[in-house]
Amino acid sequence: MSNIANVFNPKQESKPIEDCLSCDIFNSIFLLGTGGYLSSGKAILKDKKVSVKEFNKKNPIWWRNGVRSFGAFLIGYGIFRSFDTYESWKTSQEKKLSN
Amino acid sequence: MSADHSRDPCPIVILNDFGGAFAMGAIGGVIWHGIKGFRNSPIGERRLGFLNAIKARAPVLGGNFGVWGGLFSTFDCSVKAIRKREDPWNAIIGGFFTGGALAIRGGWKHTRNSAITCACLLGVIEGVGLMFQRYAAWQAKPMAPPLPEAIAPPTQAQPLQA
Amino acid sequence: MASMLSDNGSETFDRVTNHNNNEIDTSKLTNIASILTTPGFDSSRLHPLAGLEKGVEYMDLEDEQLSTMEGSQGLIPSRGWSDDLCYGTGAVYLIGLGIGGFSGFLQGVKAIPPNASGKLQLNTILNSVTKRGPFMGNSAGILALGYNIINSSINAFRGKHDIMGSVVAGGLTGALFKSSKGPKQMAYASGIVASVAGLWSGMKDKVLE
Repeated sequence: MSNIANVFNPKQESKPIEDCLSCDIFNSIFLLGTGGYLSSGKAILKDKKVSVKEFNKKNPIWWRNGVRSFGAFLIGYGIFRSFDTYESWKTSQEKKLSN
Repeated sequence: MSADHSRDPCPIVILNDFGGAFAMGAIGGVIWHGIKGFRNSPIGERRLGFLNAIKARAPVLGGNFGVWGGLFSTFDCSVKAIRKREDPWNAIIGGFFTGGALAIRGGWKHTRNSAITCACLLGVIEGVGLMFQRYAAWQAKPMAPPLPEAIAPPTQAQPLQA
Repeated sequence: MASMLSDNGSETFDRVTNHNNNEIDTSKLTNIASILTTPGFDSSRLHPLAGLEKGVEYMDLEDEQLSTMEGSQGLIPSRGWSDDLCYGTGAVYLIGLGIGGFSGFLQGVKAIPPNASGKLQLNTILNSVTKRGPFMGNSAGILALGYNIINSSINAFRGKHDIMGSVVAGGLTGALFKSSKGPKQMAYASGIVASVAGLWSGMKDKVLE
């Protein structure tokens, strides 16, 4: 097939990216770190300048819990990803050895 | 055949983006605050006002830009690693989280608005980028040899000329 | 390209010589339009070596090449001055942030009021770290930014990169950084930054050897 049509209308489809070990490692660490930060409750702290009432209005309970549970979810996902990353690291090591 | 040298692999590209954003902010800050400091000081002390404004404000502006760029790049990288895809949505999702993360101290409404604004902004930027890409591809299209007029059923068969 | 030749070199030869056996009958072709509309026309048949079946590849000879300037090869492959600038600034900012954070930590520990509660202790240290770290980071980032801009300008002007250029760039950056503090401070800053730049360049050359 001629590709001339593709030249006139370049497709902007989403391209899959090949496996990238450094990206996976980084991503696992990032997920665990962000998850830890969010679930620790340090992300939403009361400033001395705002009153308790105002703080509660700005940060409703569901929002605080939501941020915390999002953090917990990130930690869980980060653990899952870490295992994945470990697997792909192992296969890459085996590939290196067999070469 | 052509390896993609245009982006570096993930964790290290954050350093690049961070530095780039810092440089942009700092240089912009020198220009912006330099002019402001120059104009806002009395006539005799304009040079001093110019220098002081730059020294006090430009590094901070650079730092703020840098934090934004670095955070955005970090989120972008993570979204890429999770989705395993390369398309404009990465930047939009990354922008959403960046905006949210930077505003999280200001309460939930502030966080929501900031996240949405940031995502829209990134969407617009990505859209403009795509348009430019299309335009560049259209401009750089290989020129086909001009077709003879008889692209419809040729009335008179002419011998092919070498 | 070379691998393609070795893989199907014989096939290529066949296709070029025996084109009468192909579905395209050249005797019936009259003009380009009839070639393009011939049933069974395949762009890859025009010339196998052209690699037309792989699609069009745009070559950005200008943009995507690694820097080839003499002596400019760094620890990270660099595509030119903008890469040096971004990576240099980012890395130096992070180093400054780390050093500033550490010194802020030490200061905070020293500044803890006597018999303070645990929370107050933590707060004092955190405040000191978050104040000192970004300040040092910003200053270091500005220094690296200035150094990289001047260094790249010098390199571009001279057409090569060596330790001398780095040292001169460092000296200029230091002087510029302290330009509002008088000549003595300027000289100090200039000397410090120049020696750091020289040390760094020398170390880089040693590592790359």
